[in-house]
Amino acid sequence: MAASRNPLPHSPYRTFSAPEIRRWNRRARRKSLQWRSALALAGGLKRGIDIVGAVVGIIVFGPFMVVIALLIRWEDGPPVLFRQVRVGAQGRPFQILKFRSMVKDAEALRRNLEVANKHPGGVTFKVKADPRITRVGKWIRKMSLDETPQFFNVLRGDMALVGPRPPLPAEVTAYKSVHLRRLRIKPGITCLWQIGGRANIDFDEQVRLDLRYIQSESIWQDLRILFLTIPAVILGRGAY
Amino acid sequence: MAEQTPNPPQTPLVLEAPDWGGIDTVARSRQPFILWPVADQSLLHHWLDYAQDKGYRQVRIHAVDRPTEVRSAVAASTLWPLTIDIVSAAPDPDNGSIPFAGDLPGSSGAVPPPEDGWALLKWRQALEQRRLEAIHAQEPEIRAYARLGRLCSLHPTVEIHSPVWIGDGVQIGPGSVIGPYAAIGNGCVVAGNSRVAHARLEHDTFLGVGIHLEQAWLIGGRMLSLRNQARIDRLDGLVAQPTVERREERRPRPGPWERLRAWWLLRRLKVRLRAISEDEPRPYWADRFTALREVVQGNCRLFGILPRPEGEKPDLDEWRDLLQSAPKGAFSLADVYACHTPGADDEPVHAVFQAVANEADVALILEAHLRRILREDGLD
Repeated sequence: MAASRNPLPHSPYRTFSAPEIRRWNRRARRKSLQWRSALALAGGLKRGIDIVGAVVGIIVFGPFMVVIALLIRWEDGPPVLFRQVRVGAQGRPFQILKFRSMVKDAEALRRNLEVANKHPGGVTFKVKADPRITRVGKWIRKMSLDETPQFFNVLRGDMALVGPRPPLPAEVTAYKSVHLRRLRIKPGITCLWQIGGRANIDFDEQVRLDLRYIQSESIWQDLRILFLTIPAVILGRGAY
Repeated sequence: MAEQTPNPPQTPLVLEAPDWGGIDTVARSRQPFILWPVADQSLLHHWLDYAQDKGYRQVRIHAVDRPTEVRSAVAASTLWPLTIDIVSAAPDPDNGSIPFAGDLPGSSGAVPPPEDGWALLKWRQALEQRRLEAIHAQEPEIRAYARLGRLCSLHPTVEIHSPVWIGDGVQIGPGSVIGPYAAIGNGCVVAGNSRVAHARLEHDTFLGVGIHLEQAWLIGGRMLSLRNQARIDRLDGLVAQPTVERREERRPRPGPWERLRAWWLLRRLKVRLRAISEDEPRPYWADRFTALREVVQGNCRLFGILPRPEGEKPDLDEWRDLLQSAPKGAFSLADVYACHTPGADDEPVHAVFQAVANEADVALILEAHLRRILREDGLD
């Protein structure tokens, strides 16, 4: 490499030779490319884990899903699945799949139950001992088995295994701008507040935990949440 | 925080977008001022946040400056559960005072608006500084999430001096000093020993080793220095460069269908030309065969503005950058209005309109024009 000579001895800057500039340019491009590849790999890895996890989930819970479908049909007749519009990543709506755990006209009966809402004045609706829940529904909700069809939502790419729970469009209209930040990533089947207190914690705390998850998102964090979800589901903490 | 607004407003929030396209002589942005970035998001999104916080369900924006761009941005703003209308006209002055969206929500509006290109950049920087201060003033837990994005990699030796905002997917190398009043956009890479203060790095920008950036706006390899009032269009790659190819820097290429269509058109127009007798005047499209061959070879678009001559009309000098970066094509919107020579008559006006208009809309008009040419001889 040719030695570069500084034409201004008093200047703190030195001049660079053409090969030096080319080398630095190459290094700059390589550094940018490496970082972009790392980001793309992180996104791809998360999607890969989602697909593998959803397939494994469908295989493991498949027999239970068949039994639950037959029980719901036996108790209250069709439909077995409950489809509802939820708000996904970047505020885009999608249809979430669940096993039907309530009577058929549950939405119409909701107005009578506003008094018993556990989050009064808030944006979410949770009631303890909800009379609309069927006998099979009570059992599958306690075990969180009503959420198992969401593995198909994960396969379709609407949801991820780990991410903030997808809200209802009516809930989002009551959001403040700071709450909208939780919609910036794909919603998930489980998240930090699911393994913490689940439905026992208030909405503000849910948002805080969602934001904490979004900022500290990593593969290891996702795997940790997935493993901690298992005891939370088995013990039925906060599910009603 | 989670409680619903007691009495949400039933009327829409009406906003007046600034019409500052004419004074944007320095940045020469393709986007109107309301879409310019201010710290973590665009000015438009700050107003949508405001509407959401106040419980509005509907927003109406009066946008005179490039309403098509505003419409596209609104269509992409799916995060806000709001109904947003764009009106391509100034608001009626009889309707009383309506909020001016050239400023951040909640400001007094006492400062006089900018009058030239550099004042416009200083205005944007002042808005950004106020927004960074607002982020810094939030409650600590929310502030932590608001000022640093996700999937970032900051070396342990990086010094952060608040107020700052760092976007998603940012990498900052060892020994760098960020802030105060620094905004680093999504996907930026800041190499080691760099310093960024009172400055903004636009999304997907690489900043080289040991660079001290102050009072500046860096957009890929282009720097707008507010301190020296200088615009440098292309910095050396080791100082700064875009990490991804930007939309405006991308060389437009025709797709395979477009090339096939150009080949088909070339054949039909040649047949049409042979049918014209020598007594008739030579049609303008007879001079476009070379351009059509360029489209077939993939070198230019079928529909785009006509390639510009060296000298431009002085009254359109402020649009020079826009016209230079717009895709060039074999047929342009000006052809529909009988302006077939670049720079002549009203051709530059049509070219500017085409450069900012929706590409699909222009394509529809030009397809009809071409059908008319071919139908004249019963060829189509």
